[in-house]
Amino acid sequence: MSRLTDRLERDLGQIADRATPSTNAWETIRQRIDDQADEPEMEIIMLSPNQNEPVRTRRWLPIAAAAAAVALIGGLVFAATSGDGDSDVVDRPDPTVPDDRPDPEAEIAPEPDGDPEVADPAPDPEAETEIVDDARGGDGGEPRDIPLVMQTIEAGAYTTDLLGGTLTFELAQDFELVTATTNRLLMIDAPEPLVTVGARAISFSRISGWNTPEESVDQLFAGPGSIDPYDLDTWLADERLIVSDRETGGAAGRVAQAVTVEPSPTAVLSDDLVCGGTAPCFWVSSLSREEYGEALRHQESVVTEGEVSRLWIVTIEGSGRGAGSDPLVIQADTSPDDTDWFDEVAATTIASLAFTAEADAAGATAGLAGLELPAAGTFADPGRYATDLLGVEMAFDLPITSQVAGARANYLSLGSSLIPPDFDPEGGVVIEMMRHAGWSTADQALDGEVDAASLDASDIDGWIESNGVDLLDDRTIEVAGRESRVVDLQIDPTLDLQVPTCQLEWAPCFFYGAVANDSTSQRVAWVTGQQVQRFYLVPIGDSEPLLIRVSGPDEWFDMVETTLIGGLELGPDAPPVGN
Amino acid sequence: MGKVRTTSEPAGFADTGTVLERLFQTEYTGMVRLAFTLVGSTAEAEDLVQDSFVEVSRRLHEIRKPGAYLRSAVVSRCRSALRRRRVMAMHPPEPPAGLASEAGELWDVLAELSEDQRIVVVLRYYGGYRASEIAQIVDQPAATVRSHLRRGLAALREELTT
Repeated sequence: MSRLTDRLERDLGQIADRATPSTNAWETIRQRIDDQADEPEMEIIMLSPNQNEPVRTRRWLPIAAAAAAVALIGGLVFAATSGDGDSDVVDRPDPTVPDDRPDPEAEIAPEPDGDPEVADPAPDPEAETEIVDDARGGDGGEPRDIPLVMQTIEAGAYTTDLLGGTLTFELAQDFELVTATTNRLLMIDAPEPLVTVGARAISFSRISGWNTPEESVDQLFAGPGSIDPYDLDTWLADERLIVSDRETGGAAGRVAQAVTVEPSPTAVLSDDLVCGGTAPCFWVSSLSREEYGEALRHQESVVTEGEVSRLWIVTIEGSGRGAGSDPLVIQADTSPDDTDWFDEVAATTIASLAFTAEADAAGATAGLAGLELPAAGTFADPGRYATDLLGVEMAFDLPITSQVAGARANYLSLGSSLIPPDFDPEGGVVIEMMRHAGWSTADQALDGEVDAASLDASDIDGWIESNGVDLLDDRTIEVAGRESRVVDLQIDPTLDLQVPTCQLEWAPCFFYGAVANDSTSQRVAWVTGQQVQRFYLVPIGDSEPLLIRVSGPDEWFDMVETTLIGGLELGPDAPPVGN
Repeated sequence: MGKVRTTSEPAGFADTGTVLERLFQTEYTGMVRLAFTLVGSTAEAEDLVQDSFVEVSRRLHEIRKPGAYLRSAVVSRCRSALRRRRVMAMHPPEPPAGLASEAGELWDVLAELSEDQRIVVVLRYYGGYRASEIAQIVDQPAATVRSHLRRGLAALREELTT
């Protein structure tokens, strides 16, 4: 708590206490309500900018269309679905509608109910058994490795580990293999190479989320899709997809949903080349985590006019390579007069499907996967990295090119500030991750000895209270499946504190804590008053917590939280290195 | 901290009159004082808060957390009042009588802040709300609120310490 904020609380309280509400306020309010009740319509009409259309807003159409789509879905689904989807869709604020009124719904809307069928599926033992028994039952022969891209992938059985585990499947016909990258396979049987709309296509993807309507037409969108990958209801409703068939069953020995869709005539249009100017046409989903860092989206699935798409969404538990529990989605596309082909795909490719995520393999450890971090002092490209440098295994997405400023036992520091052309020393972001041994008292803030951090590692409040810190925000969120505290802080820039190892332009600049088992003679964990600091305190069992500090201009915080924090995976609890 | 923040949410009461009366009992004085720190007049603050209660009563059937709605409505009306005052080039009100000198100085410096900065500073350090909560009250992104808060604090720090 800083002197300033102490004074603000005290003096604002004094000011507010000067207001003495009238004793008859309740009666006055009741009278005013009664007065309003006499002429409510008059006020509305007078305030309406267009008296001919007093209730028509831009929000009306999407709501009505969404409601219609939901109603259609509700009438056609094979398996019963959660009834909560309707109200969620209609209640969701439309961000495109300007509205000066207070929007209490943003605060009061309940957490969307998870779709129990999707998020926590109850396996159908019969279906699963049947599929497992049928798996590999085709005549595709011994699975082969997939060929190189842009070559023919012939009918037969194949295996690949590109999707975060061992995937085996069978094809009943020849295709051209168009894409074969991490978390993504795409094969097309096009009569003409440049005419793919209406052609048969099959894709396999691990997806991190379904795209919202805005994301689905944004060529430059590169983050994870905002809609939970198991929340099929929301995606179908938001994109106003016409659903002609939907069922729940099994695939690859797991619970799976299947849905047949085509875009409604009023759906959005993507303006990128992949859709070739057809309308409506839009991106379906975002690939799993290893792809986030790309500047442009990878080849992903689209749904487009002139095609019908059938999607099988296979539930994945545990940790796959770089994909966590993201579902496996198989999408088949063809022309509207060829939908019987979906039955063939189901009878061959889906029935033959087998998938073993790495975590499912008997005796396997979590083995979080990702790129190896480059050496300290060098640059790390955007991508997914994995390391056990902090004792506990961790994998995370680095969203931007960063300098590895520090990489040693229990401590990792990444900074973008010196990377051209987009960043500058004051505009960049610093991301520091460490196993946190403790917080420093005010008396210890300039003490470089590694044990000068006597406040318990979980006692961030004690540190705030004693070190001239303004608490801007304080939340609890889930990080890597662990309930974690997040605080935004501003250090009092007038403090006269400066440690010798910190540049003068960062003053005030002082030690805030210590790294666990620090084997150096000088502490490295310091903060500056020149930027806002965000701390994530992630518990690691009974051991030292993982502390993630993000420092930089405001615009970086949400991006880092969406990517690095949102995609963070941690292995089993483990002590810091050296314990 | 938490001087006007209440955890009670009278949503769920069956009778709208009861809901409104309960809301009045839990929120009215705090809301008037919050509004007073922004507009500087008890009469105007009461008028704005009472207006907000009228709006809540009119929309009670469609809002699920009347307390949250009321707070947004009060702040929105205070913002409008501040804007009207600026448009009419009116001078800020005199500090309330009887204030200690430091509180009087704060009053004057607060009046120099932008309307956004003033609102978030008051909500944070009088209301006790976190930035993410303020974001919902003022209907702005949390990052924007943090920015207003940081700049407001910087201005206050400069003015109050020189």
